[in-house]
Amino acid sequence: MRCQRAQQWMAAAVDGELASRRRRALDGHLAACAACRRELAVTDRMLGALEALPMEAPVSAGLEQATLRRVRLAAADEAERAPGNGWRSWFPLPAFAVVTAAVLVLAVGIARRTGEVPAPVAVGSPSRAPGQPMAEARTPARPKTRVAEAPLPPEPPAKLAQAPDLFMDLPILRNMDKLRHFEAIETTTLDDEPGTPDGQEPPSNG
Amino acid sequence: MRRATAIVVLVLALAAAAVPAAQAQDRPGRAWQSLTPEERWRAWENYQRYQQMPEQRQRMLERRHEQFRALPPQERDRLRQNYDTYRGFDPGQRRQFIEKYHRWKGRK
Amino acid sequence: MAPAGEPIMPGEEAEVPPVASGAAADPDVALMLRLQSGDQGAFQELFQKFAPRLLKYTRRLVGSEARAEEVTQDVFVQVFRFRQRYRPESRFSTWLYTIATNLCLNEIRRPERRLRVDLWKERDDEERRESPQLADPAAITPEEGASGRELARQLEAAVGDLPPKQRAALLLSRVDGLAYRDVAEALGCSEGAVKALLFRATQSLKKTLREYL
Repeated sequence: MRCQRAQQWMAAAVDGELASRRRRALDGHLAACAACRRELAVTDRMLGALEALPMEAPVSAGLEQATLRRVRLAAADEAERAPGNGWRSWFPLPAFAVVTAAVLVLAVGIARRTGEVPAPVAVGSPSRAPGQPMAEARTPARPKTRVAEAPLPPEPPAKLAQAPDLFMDLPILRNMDKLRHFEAIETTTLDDEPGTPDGQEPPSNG
Repeated sequence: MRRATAIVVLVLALAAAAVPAAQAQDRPGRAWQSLTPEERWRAWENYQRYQQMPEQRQRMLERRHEQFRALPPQERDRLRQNYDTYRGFDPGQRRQFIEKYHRWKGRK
Repeated sequence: MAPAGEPIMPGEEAEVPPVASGAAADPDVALMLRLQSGDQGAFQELFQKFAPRLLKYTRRLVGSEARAEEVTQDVFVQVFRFRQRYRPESRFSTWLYTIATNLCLNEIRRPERRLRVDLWKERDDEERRESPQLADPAAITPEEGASGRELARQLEAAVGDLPPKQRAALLLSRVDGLAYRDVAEALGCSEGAVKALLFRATQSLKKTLREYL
């Protein structure tokens, strides 16, 4: 196998997505090629660093509210196009809130044509008592940020409580093969180390 | 007769006491409450990593956990010690270890 | 930024169990089925579960926080609008990332456009903090933690410089942990094409980051 092919297969090998026959061929090449072993080590470290990047970002209450608001409007849209399909059970909107939403959509449409942007308007919420006048346009109270960090919970999730050892030992479980044969691996010599334990010359890279 | 009855009762009592001891060996590891705060934090962080894994990998790790639990205690300690040793490696030593691992695997 | 997680022992051997059917294996399918039958609470659950991940993904893909938040909204609105098109045979997360990737790639291709009306107040900067990196339970030395942080910083920048499709493939596969076939579905291409994208992306990153690796 040539080094170019070996390098093409490295990422798949790290992922465990390489077919076993190809895996054996790659292992055979790596046993003989110091350059590819070094390249694999670099690939491994980089892929590991990628996997360690944070997966989540904090989502503000404002983003959540804006999304739900748009979904309510979409639900109202659907209901207008197909009345009687029970949309009221979706996101119940008092009548004046529906009117407010329609006015808002119209206002934005007009503003876009004229180039002006209307001031933010509080959209009617289900909790407002019917008959109450619509609030003056005002900026909503500062939303509480919902941070996606996870402090230690007072009560652990069920799975964690049932088997805390599984999670305590997770790094060991992920690397069992290496850890079981640690001593044997440690005493394996590489091509640039002086001699081999059995006195034989290491195979050439060619 | 009374003596025989007493002996039977004693034997039964000893057997009953032995059962929890035997079950304790099969009990799945330590309870959450018995972990130190640092251990709880470590388990919690690894739990979050686990939650982010694809389901196939989660199942694989659960199977490995069963295999790990089935090992003799000395063998489990040996693996933990080896992991601690690896943690003590500097980046260069780690790179070399991984290279050796692949070399070793190719020779198997 | 806290140091990276446990020491990396790469080349972890893989055991590939039989692939479970989508509906049986994916708890989010139940939420989508509830959504399809009109359960409003299911939508909010889906949002709260997936929005943090999706926001991080869109931010890395489109490269701007404001645009990422807009696109994230768009994704969930589309999830609602096209909820009846979702088929439970496949994972919900794959469907979600398919929508998100399409919208992000469209967004990248478009010229700068005016933001929609903001209906909520601008937050203070101190509230817009990132979720912290998991602390490294295995970091032994401060140097190890510092070099890991530097690598992560350089890596984020280098990923941002990749061509969009390579960036999407890499993020979906490496950061969000999707299998190759799910990445292929999200990108609308073959698994072979995904592997080619990933190969080019990783080669490019290794070249840029060699001194840190």
